[in-house]
Amino acid sequence: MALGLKNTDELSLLRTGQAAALAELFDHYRPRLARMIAIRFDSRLHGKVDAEDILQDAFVEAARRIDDFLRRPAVPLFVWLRQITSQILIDTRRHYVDAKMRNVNLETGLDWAQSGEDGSAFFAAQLADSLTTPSQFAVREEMLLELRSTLDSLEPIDREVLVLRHLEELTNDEVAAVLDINRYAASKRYLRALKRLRVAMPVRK
Amino acid sequence: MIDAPHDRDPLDVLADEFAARCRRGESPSPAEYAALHPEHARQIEDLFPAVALMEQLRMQEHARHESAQNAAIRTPPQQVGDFRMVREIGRGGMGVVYEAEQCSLRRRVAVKILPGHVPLPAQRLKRFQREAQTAARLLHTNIVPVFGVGQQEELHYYVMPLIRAVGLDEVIRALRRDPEKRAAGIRTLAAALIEAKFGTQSERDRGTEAQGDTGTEPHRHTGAGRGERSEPQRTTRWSDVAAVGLQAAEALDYAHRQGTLHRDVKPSNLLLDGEGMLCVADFGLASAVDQADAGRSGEVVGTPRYMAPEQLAGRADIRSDVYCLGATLYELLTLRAVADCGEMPGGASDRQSAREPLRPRKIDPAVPPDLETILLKCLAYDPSKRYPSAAELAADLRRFLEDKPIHARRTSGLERAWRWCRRNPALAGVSTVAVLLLIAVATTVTGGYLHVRKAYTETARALDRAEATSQVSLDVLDAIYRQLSPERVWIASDSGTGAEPCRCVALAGGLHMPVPPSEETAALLASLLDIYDRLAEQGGHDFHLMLESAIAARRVGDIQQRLGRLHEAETQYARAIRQLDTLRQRPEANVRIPTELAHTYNEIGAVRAAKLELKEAYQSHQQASALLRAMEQAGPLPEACRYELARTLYFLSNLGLSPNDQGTTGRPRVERETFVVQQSARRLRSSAVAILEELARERPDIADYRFLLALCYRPSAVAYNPAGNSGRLRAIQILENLKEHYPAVADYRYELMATYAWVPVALFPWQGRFPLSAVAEEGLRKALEESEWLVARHPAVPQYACSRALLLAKLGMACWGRQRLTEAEHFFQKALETQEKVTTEFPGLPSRNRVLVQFMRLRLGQICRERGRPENDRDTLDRACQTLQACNEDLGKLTASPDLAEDRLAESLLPVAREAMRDALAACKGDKPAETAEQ
Repeated sequence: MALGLKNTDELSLLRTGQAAALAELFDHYRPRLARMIAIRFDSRLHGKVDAEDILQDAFVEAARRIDDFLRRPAVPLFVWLRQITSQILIDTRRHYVDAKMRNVNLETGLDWAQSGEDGSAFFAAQLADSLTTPSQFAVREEMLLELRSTLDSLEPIDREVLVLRHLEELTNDEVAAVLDINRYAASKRYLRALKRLRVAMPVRK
Repeated sequence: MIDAPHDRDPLDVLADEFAARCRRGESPSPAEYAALHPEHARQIEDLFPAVALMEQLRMQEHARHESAQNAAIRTPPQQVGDFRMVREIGRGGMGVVYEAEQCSLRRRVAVKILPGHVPLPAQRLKRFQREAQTAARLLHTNIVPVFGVGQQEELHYYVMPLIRAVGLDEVIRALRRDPEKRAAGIRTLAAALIEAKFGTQSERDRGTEAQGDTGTEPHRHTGAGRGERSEPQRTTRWSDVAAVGLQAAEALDYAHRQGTLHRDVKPSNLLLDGEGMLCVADFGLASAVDQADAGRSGEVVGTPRYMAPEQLAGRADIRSDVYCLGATLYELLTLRAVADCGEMPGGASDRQSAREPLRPRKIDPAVPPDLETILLKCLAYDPSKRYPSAAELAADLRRFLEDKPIHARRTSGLERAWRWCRRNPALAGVSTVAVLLLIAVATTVTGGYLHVRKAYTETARALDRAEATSQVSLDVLDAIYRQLSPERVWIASDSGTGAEPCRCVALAGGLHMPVPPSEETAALLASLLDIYDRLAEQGGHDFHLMLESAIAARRVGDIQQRLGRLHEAETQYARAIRQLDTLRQRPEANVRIPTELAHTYNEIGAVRAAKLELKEAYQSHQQASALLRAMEQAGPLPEACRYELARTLYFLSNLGLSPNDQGTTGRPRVERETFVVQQSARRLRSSAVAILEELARERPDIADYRFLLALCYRPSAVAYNPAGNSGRLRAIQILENLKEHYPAVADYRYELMATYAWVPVALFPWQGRFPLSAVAEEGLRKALEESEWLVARHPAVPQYACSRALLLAKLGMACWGRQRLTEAEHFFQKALETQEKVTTEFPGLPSRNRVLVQFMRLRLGQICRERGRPENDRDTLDRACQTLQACNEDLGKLTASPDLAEDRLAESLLPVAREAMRDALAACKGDKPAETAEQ
């Protein structure tokens, strides 16, 4: 199957009822979905679930809901798959972390319950992990560490735009679809987030 | 997906391009961009460094993601100390061996990295180093020298010369795979294996000649036979084994004289090169790193499969090494492990002492009697009956090779029987009929019904006539049960209280000689239960007798379960539970009772789950869990209980209940939300995996630990992406390995088949679009191979036949999804035939199987229709219509069938089938031209 199809082609492919279409399209987007999971994976889930489990669940869910989606495709296929995956990830986190580890949450000072839907909160949780990274590139690491904490201090929407654009490598259109805003607004929001990041963290010369 | 530029801020477009260049590995400079786009210069200089930084962060995240993935597949360390790893050349319980380059000396060496990322305790580490030093002092042609030991972070390793040789374990595996190769002799085979592993001789790296090292050894013994002396009337096969043994014995003798025991002689530690030269590796290291720590009561060291009996008790001397070498040669000669060949399985009470290997000539009558005598002398249970030194073994092997009379004396059959009786005092003085019968039964492995019946009647007669003590009867009954029941599980679960963890080793991992379960054996065994009861009564409700009786009932239940007779199985389990509950109140009650009880609860739970009584199943497993948890409160769980706990977790994970339902109070509720259920299943399974990984590490000799581990690794839901599902792949890896070692065990094959076919059925309309990829299809085809083996070997097991039908249907769906309609029709035709045959041959199966027939028909009709439509092929379309109509009628009959209500699944499937049926039939009628539609 030709990959990198236009959205309309993807949808018609799915509609023609080629049974393998969803699996192949899902496979095509798999690396990107896996990247999204990796970025937002709560380290406390390690050993309980892995990215493969999340993807598996996401696929099952997608297969279940594909007909609804095709009836009224509000977003491009990838964005839809990403939404499902992200929801599974949130549910998983809620299941393990929120229910069982509330005391741990309090220690990290992050209000998970309130920022439940906010994907970047996951990202913030990773900060603790990054402290243990071997320090071969100590200087760069330090800079990146600073960047991480600066990101964490930004408004959630700014942080989310930057994570989507850079870490998840989403295009502006995809960001717009994910955030449910128009393209121009998405573009503006990205630039504004960059500016705020720049202000919050003066780049060293 | 390219964004239209006019929808975006132009600066954003530039930033995007800048980021894209970063992603391609370039280092674009903000200044350069600013110069190119003066209108945005200030903003570019201000913002783009932040873009670059974000991209660096992306790279870091990416690297972390990658490394996490790599860690998951356990990549070898690239560099350890002075050594750069080149490739893996072997692995085993004692660690992984790599070919490596010693950077400072620029030579190729072999580096063995010890297992466990767990740091060795200081005391043990010291011993490891001391042993390595001792080993390093051993200089002998037939001993792999140790260059040194080292440690980097938590990795411990030692360095040896790289030898172009293969372990005898690989040779044995190759021979098992292809017995034809036996005739050519071991040396030829080893040479071929070495070529495959290391490349041809000329490709060798200059610095790697191991022979260069060994060639300068001071102790070049002249006696090391290489098979040149083989007599014309002897095939090289026997002389090769003897020559290998001779060299190993000489090496051991040398080491023994230096005061070093090997402690872990086994096939993988004996390396054979292409010239027939043998080297013994890993001297003395076993004691330093072996994980099996018996703690206070002395240390058990070595590999249980090859261990001498006294080693199990923590004692080892020269004669233990002799025994281990004998066990290795025995396996090389017969391709069967000593541990698998208990001639007299004996009673549960005295398993270890009954350990006597099957005579090699019974396995292969062509084995020279002298060689057999030598091996049996090595393998004598009593160390004083063995060769007192490796030198004497070497001398006899040399005599054999030179065709001179050996010194070891053959023992007569009578003597063997007498010795056996002496080791089994309970039998001494009792009518020999019982003894002979026991032997007859024990060796009648695949005898079938007639043999079994004969054995049974003779047993009954012997029991009446011999005024047998209860112990004798129990031993006889026990032997019969063990041979006839399809159990593998008893090996692990009946291994006793854990107080003597190694007692069952003689049979553990062995005796996998399944008798196909049949209704006849089930009936016979069930009638034997009465004998147990009679005995228990005669014995004044003796505790031991009652326990045996309960276990026997459970075993009969196991057979019934296997035969798909769920109701009968449940009855037997309930009986076992009743008896065990009574026993629990007795003052003699020991830890074995709750363990057996938990085991039985788990089995009854499995039966109830199969009957779709999920709540009841859940309660049974909860009861097992409660028993085991209570034991845990009292102290660390013995091995058998830990295994049972893992089983409990596994069963619970299969029930598909959400975690909230598993609380202590509320009643379970079947939860529909996939993710909650799956998460909960995963949590249970990862707990089970943790237990089993530990057990499998401690007891690599018990195959069932690995078996259950594989099942726990397998995801609880079918995998959409079978190629990428690491759990499924791990499960396949373990199961393939088990299949290789125990090719005759149906359970392993069955689960291997199920794991290969671990993709959605997609047979039912509500499953949505579960497309099957090419990889999934490949898995299904592999599964089909296993399935054919199972059905051919065990035609009496309905489970195997049912799974074959479903498998064919899955394959049909896979072909259909890829528009290969002819193939799809073919598979469905076969699926339908198989499923119909199952329902007629096993009328006792739940009704759902009959509903399934109709689903297959429905799909067959639909495929047929799709095939006929493009060309408006009237015949095909008519056939489709007929198929569907027949299906419709049968569905009508089924709905009226009174026994349907017994099977809830059938009940809920039927309306779905009818609805799908109506749609399909309507569509099919719509195809037809108006004039033929109405007939």
